[in-house]
Amino acid sequence: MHKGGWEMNVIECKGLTKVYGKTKALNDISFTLTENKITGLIGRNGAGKTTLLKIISGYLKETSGEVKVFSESPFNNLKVSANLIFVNEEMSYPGSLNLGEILKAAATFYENLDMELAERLMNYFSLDLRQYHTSLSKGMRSTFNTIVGISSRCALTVYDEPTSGMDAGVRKDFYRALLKDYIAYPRTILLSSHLLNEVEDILEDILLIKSGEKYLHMAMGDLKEYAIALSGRSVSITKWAEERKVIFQKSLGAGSSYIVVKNDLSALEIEQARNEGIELMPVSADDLCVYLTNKTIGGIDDVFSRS
Amino acid sequence: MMYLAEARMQDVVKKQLQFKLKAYRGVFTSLIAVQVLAILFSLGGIGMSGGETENFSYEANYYSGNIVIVLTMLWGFITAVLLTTRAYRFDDFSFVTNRVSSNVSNIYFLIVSCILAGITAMLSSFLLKVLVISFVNTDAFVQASVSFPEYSTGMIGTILYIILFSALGYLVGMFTQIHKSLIVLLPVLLLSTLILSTGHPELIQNIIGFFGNENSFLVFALKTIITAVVLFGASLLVSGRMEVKQ
Repeated sequence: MHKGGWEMNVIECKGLTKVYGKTKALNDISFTLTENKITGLIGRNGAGKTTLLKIISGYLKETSGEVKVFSESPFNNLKVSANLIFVNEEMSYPGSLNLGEILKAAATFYENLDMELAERLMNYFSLDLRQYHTSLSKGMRSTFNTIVGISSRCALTVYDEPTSGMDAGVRKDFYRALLKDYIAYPRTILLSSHLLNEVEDILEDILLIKSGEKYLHMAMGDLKEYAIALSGRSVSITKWAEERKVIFQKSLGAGSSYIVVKNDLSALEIEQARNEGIELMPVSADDLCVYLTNKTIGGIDDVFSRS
Repeated sequence: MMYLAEARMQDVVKKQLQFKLKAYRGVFTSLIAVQVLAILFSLGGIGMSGGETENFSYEANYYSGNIVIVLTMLWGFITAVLLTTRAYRFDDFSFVTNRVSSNVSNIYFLIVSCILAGITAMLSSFLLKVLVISFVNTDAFVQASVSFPEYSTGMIGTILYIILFSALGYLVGMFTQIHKSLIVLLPVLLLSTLILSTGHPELIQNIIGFFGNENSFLVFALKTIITAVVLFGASLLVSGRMEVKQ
């Protein structure tokens, strides 16, 4: 996988910008994804996740900046298309073909497609090869699309909100199937979701975007250590808040407060905080992403507080 | 190093053509429906003349397979427009494609369908004769008996006309995909040209005459083929930067 410590870049974006009319869907995004990793693209609704994935998949053309997939520009690129599958809600197939025929057609285009695996997954998820794509329920359609995504074994597999409409059981099964097949046949996977808690166990890296801009790109493990929560009497919490950048704050009532700050407290400071009766707690990656992508540091509470 | 699949344009186009011949089978169903309908229309005859003297009267009915050919040309146009609609264009993007391969395989698909449509349109004239003689006008006699070379020329000519119309339909369809307003603007433009040119029918006559009044079959064939290539080429240029968005 890593020859001489050199990793191949699967995706490279430099100053990537996409403008629709007057709105900037993506603004100056730069990042690099290396080979054989599962990266989660996390962001709120309208953050630009789908636009970014569609540019990477060659569906949309960037307005400015540079995007390279397998070192080539993905728009109108057959090599990129042959090695990439983009699984999303909008995947459309001709209404005249049943699921079995669609899989067969997919197998002619994607040379690594494992038909046996596809059929076993279809069977497990109670999908009949003779059913038609248009007659499936939303969840079943998502299930079928993800089966095509897993079994086609493309060097780059891009999932855009793959589990929408699926029930909890199918979601868990899908992520497990994804992980198992990834371990057996390593590939680069880019997965967008707004539910981080659902995917955090399988992600190695996380790419967080906010309002069309890259917010952070780091290993999942680092994200879990990224911030720390302080909770205690408002008087002492306010003093701590003044000295550093507050990611999130809320009032707990009865004169106590809760704040989230970057986890760069020295051992001395931690000692000091404890002495002041402040409780220090880790922040889950899921909560942290919500806090980081909030428009205000108080979140929804700000709307209701009139003070 | 990761292993990457190679994708050659001609292989992808071939796979897409095979896929489309199977997936777009509805196109052939509509072809059959159109031609059956056209044959039924033709059974009424395209013209009648008659006369009467003191002792006898006569009546002559003319039957022709031209309606079949005209409706097949219309079918070619509509089928081509259909292929440019979002649903059909987006289907390609669920598999391996780029815009060029998607268009080229569409054009090949249209040419194959048009050849098939031309053959069945020409053959339907036999069916028409049999139907007229058997059921409608039992005393009919077949006036036009053509030689095989003439018949083949007719068939190739018909195919070329259908391809010409589908090439036009494909370009018109692509234009309307660029901007929704063109769905309204194009017919308005066409109709206003027709209305404005009523005083000066030269324009329309010239266009029809360019293809229709050609005495040399070879020159006619060249004219239609070149026009179709230009129309298809223009569609490729028009759609080369089209995005895939809902």
